[in-house]
This record gives sequence, C-alpha cells and structure tokens, in this order.
Amino acid sequence: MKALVLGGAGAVCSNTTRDLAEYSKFDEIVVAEYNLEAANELIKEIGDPRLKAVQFDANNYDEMLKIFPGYDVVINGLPWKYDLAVTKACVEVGVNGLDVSTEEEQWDYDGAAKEKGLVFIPGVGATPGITNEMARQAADQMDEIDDIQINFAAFRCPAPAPGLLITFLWEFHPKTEGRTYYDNGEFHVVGPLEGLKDVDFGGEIGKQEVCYIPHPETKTMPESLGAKKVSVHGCFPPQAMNLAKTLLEWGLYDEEPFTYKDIEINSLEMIHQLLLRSPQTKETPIWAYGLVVEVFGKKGGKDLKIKLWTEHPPMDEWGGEAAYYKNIAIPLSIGAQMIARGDVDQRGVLPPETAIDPKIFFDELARRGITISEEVEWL
Amino acid sequence: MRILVLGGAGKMGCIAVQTLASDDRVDEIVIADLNPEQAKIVADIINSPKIKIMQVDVNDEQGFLKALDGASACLNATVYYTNLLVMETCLKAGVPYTDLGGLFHITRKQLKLHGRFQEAGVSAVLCMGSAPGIPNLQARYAADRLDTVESIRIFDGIKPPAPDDERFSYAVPTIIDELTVEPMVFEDGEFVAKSPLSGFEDYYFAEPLGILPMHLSLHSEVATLPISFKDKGIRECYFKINYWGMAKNTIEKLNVLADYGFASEEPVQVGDFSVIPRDLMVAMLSGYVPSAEDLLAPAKSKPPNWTKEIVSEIRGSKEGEEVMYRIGTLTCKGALPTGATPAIAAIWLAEGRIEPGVYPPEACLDPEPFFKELEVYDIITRVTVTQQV
Repeated sequence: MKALVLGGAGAVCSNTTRDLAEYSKFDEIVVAEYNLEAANELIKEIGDPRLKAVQFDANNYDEMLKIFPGYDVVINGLPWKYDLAVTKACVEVGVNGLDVSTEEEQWDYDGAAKEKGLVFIPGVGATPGITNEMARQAADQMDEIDDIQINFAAFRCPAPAPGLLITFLWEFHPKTEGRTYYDNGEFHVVGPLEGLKDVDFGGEIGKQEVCYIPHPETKTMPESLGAKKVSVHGCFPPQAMNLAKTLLEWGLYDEEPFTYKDIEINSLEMIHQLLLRSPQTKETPIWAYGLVVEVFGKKGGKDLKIKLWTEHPPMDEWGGEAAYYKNIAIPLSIGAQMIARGDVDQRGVLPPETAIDPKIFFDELARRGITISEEVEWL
Repeated sequence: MRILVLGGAGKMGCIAVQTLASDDRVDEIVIADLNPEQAKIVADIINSPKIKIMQVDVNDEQGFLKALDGASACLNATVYYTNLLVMETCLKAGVPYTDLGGLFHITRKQLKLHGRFQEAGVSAVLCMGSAPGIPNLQARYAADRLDTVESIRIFDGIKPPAPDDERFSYAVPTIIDELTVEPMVFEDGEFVAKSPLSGFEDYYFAEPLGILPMHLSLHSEVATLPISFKDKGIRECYFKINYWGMAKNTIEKLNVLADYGFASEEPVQVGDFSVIPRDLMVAMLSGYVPSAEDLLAPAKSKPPNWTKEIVSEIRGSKEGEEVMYRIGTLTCKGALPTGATPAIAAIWLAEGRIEPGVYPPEACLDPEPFFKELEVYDIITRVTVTQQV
C-alpha cells in the first residue's frame, strides 16, 4: 500500500507524515513537496525507510496527473486553495484522497468519483474533521436532530504558515461568502464577529468568546445528518481576535488602493504581507485546539442534549506548536489509513460524517492522546 | 514681526497660525509646509491677509534658509524628529526657535546646543506644545514660591471622546511613540524607564471633567524639570495622561497593531519595494486624524464647561512648612493650547524677551505674564495652595 502526502513537510502536515510513520502500515509513504530540502530533512529526522521525497509543484495540474496514479490514497495537506485541483486530479486518475478543509465545488465531483469507485473526503482535520465525527456520534443516538452547535478554539498564532494566515484573514473578511448558519431550511448570512457567545473549552484554553465562522459543517450537516439547525462558532487566542477586530473596525480589510510613498497599494494585501513577515505573528503563549459540539434532538419522543468535547496533551508534552497542529494532522493521517485499509466503504466525494465511522476514528484518536468525552442531558 | 510656522498646514501648526493671525503684534505669518495644497486649505479657513504660504522641505537646507530670511522667529510644528535639524538651520540663519516638544530623548539632545546658540546670539525655547510647556511654567510658578521642591506630578486630563470615536487627537507618529516607547520618570532622584501604559491612578480634575484614569507617558517635562530644579532638592517627577485624549478602545486597537509588528521600523521587503511597517501604519490610519476644519473650529463649549485641564502638583516646603501647589490650566478646546502656547513663545522670542541660548520653558519664561496672555484665548490658570493652618 502506498500513500502520497502533498505538502507533507509543511507546518501542519509534517505532523501527518510523522503519524503515518509511527502508526500506519503503508509500505511506501511519499512526501510530495515544493520545498524538497525540508522534505528530505524531515525524512532524515523521522528515519523510517518507507519514507521518500519527491519534488512537487501544486500549481502544476499536469504534474498531479503524472504523480498521483498508483497510490492507494492521496493525502492533501496543502493550503486550501489547492483543494479543488487535487480533488479533480484524484477523480481524473482514479485515486482515493482526502484533505483538511472544504471547497463547495469539490462536491461536484461526487458523481464522477462514484463512477470510478473511489472515495474522496474533504475536511478531515480538527474542524471540519473531528467535529463532524462528534456531531455524527451524537446524531447516531437520536431519532431527530434539532440543532447542531459546533464550537472551536484554534489556539495558534495568526501566521504560523502562509496558508494559515490566509485562513485567519479570510475567516473575518467582511466579503467572505458562506458565513452562514442553517435554520429551518435556509442558510442565513451573518457578518464577521457576530453571534458572540461564551464557550468553556476547558484545559489551557478555558472559557472564550466565540463568533460565527464560515465553515463547511454548516453546509453538509443539514443533509448528511438531517439537522434542522446547524451553526459553527469559533475563535483564535484573544490577542489574535483583537487583531481581527482592529482590522475590521479600522477598515483595513479595504481592498481599495491607497497611496504610500507615491505607490498605489492595497491595504489588505500590505497587511497580509506584513503579517506574514512580522516575527510577532509567529508567537502565541498557548498552542492548543479546543472543540465542543452540542447536539440537541429527540429520542423516543423526549428532548435531549448530547455534548461532546475533546481533550489533548498540553503543549509541554506535545512540543509547543505541535499541540495545535496535531489536532489537524492526526485526523488526516487516521482518515487516510481508514481509507487504505477498507474502513470506508462508501464511494464518492463525501463529508467525514457520512464516510467515516466515528467509533474507529475516536479509538484511533485516543491511541494518540486525543480523547472525546460525552455528556447526555435529558431536557 | 514675521513668524515662520514650519508644518503650519499640520494638525497643531494650523492652530498656531490661527493664534498668530489673531495677535496684533504679528505682521506676517508664513505657513512653511511640505504640502502647499493643505497650506492653502488652512489659509482659506483662517482667512487672514497676514498669511503667506511657502513650500519648504526641511531637508533642503538652501530652500529652508531662504524661507527663514527675514523671519523674526521660527515655530517648528512638524513632527519632533526634525527638531535637531531645524535648530541647526535656524542657528545658521540666526532666527530664534521654538517647538512643541521632543518627547524626552530629543529634548535632551536639543539642550546640548545651548552653548552654540548662546555664542551665536540666537535664542531657543523648547517644549512649548501646551504639554510640555504649560506644566513647565506651572512648576516654575510654584518653585519660585518654595524653598525646596520635593515632587512635581503632572496630570493632563482630557474629556474622553465617545467610545466609538476612532480619531487620533494629534500626530499619529507621536502617538505611536508615546504608546510604544517606555515612559521615563524621575523616581528617588533617578531617571527610570517604565512600561508604556503603566502606573494607572485616578485623578480628580475640575468639573465637569471629574475623575479620569491617568497613566504614564513619555514626555519632555520629565526631561528638564528635575534638572532645572535640582538645587531645590527634587526627588520625583512624572507625567500622566488619559489615553492621549483618545478613546480607550482606539488606543487598545493601536496597541494590538503595535504588538503584531506594525510599529516596527525594520524595513520589510514586499514584492518590489521596501516597506517600513510603522510608516505604512501611519499612512493607513491617516484618515482617522481630525480635519483642519475641525481643528480650527471654535470651541464647542464655553467656560466653565471645560474639556481639558493640565495640572501640576508641586510639593515642597516654605520656611520649613510643607506646602503643595495645585496649578490647573483649563480650556474648552483641547487642541487650542497646543497652538496658542508656542505662538506666544514665538512672539516673545521675536520681541527679544529671551536671552540667547537653548532653554526649557521653566528656565526662560516668566509664568504670570505668560498665563495672562493665554487668558485671551479662554485658557485659564488657577492655583490652589495647601498648607497647614
């Protein structure tokens, strides 16, 4: 069995590569990287003979078509802007795959993927990813699903890697589409930093204020789990939230050009570039990921609420930044292994809650120290 | 009398121009500015036949010298980074000099030019931007009446704007410095650096200002008063203000940007050109500075509906008895003293009332006649003396 890890030496996905080396039964794990030197260094450090590196440019679609055939699964750890191209290439060459976020257009390849007998699962990270499985776990215990409330605390700095800075800026951009919650058959559009509420994530994160965040769970769960209401709230560390608030309130998301030293520039683009280069955007006191999912529904005619939450080893134990990254990287590795060993029997382009059995998934998470707790409350 | 106002089209400079235009002693005011379009806007609003406009770049010495030719005094209202350069050119031109302050460190360097100014017979009064300026004269007023001075505590209380008012009260670069550079205090007879936005205490100002939260800020008074009153035994001096007259929320946002590196002066390469994050932040926020129309508009309230009080509390002794002077200077328009104070200093310089040399205000200006001149603009100074019965 062979796995191809795209961007496998990156900030998040290097932890996937490490997990694959430690836990998987793949005969060959190939790290496809633009930065070949980083890939070789990582492989040397891990020291597993199954690991290999290949030069890979994600901007070159033909290269994907050339490299992908022959693998049992393509693990996409690239920034989300490549999600669609990778999905398309997997379907075109007939290879299974998965990634950590979701582009709406990925679902368009569902029919073609079914025809070719392959599975592609978008969004197998922390959120989307673990949260989808938590919601599924609760939904499986109910007859009717009234309301799924997903909450996350992504405790990381704003710009640990270029792709993650784009995510941070995008999630609060006033013009970002898809910042919605679903209620009774309709998607309601909301603005950035709206729907504020406090959520206790426990552990080092504790209680935080969260707001609506554009996330794919809102889009998939009305159909996949039959939920009447779905919302995703999230936050970053307080200082990063203050940065987002400042950028918004001072109109610095403005993409109108302005003059700086006789040069016409775009405020958001400059902010993006400066944040990318500023040393302060690479630091944050606590690295962690908090996930709390609350599902309200009915069982045997009675109202109930099932609350699930994650816990993971603190940064002291997991090695600083890895305490954040592993929450995304480990699910990606587990998902890939489940696909390769036949734990996923459905075909098509499918959300995690449809394709992945939560029991196997949670057991695998627990082996790595990520535990899911559950509390049932009859209302 | 011809007064050159360098940066006269700027936020504080335009108020100085307005004050000078209203004073009968002044025949001509030159708005010497990098930006002639803005100078025209200011001149049109003030609408005085005394105003002339000259485009001046302080980095172009020849051009600047030409503008200084025939000037009775130069009032430097540009951002304080230019102070030393402008003083050198004024020295060369033999034109008396005043400015709005040098945010402690630059003031210290400026004072070192004393000998050369004295030798050339040119006078300079530093730190006349209201605060600094007024507190220095308040301290001098009290010190003149005390045998010893133990402490000088300065509180600059400004009526807070609405919480959602995102505007800057004056030059964005100066506010960024005041927010990010460590404030200096004189403590137990030593100069000590403190953390920005620290040392919070509530202070009670004249009604309707009431109690305002005050914090330390880097300021020039602290650079000169402990030296001027060293012989009186001074042990303590600090300057506190309430968010530089801005909404707390605005300062917090500025702090967030500074925390993420936007106050950095290290150039960053972005594509084809090099960017200094701090300059970019100043450019991006330039839309949040009040307009010349706003700054030159009459006060929105009348005395005693004060919007700002600058207070110095001077503790010391007289004939062995402990005495405390609380001197408060009140105005109904916060930015007015920042323009009026240097304008009066420039007139006094032009009248030859200051000896040659470089001086802090407390060393060369007589407080009482100065406060009297400020009264013309409804800037009122009151004194309270506390002593044992």
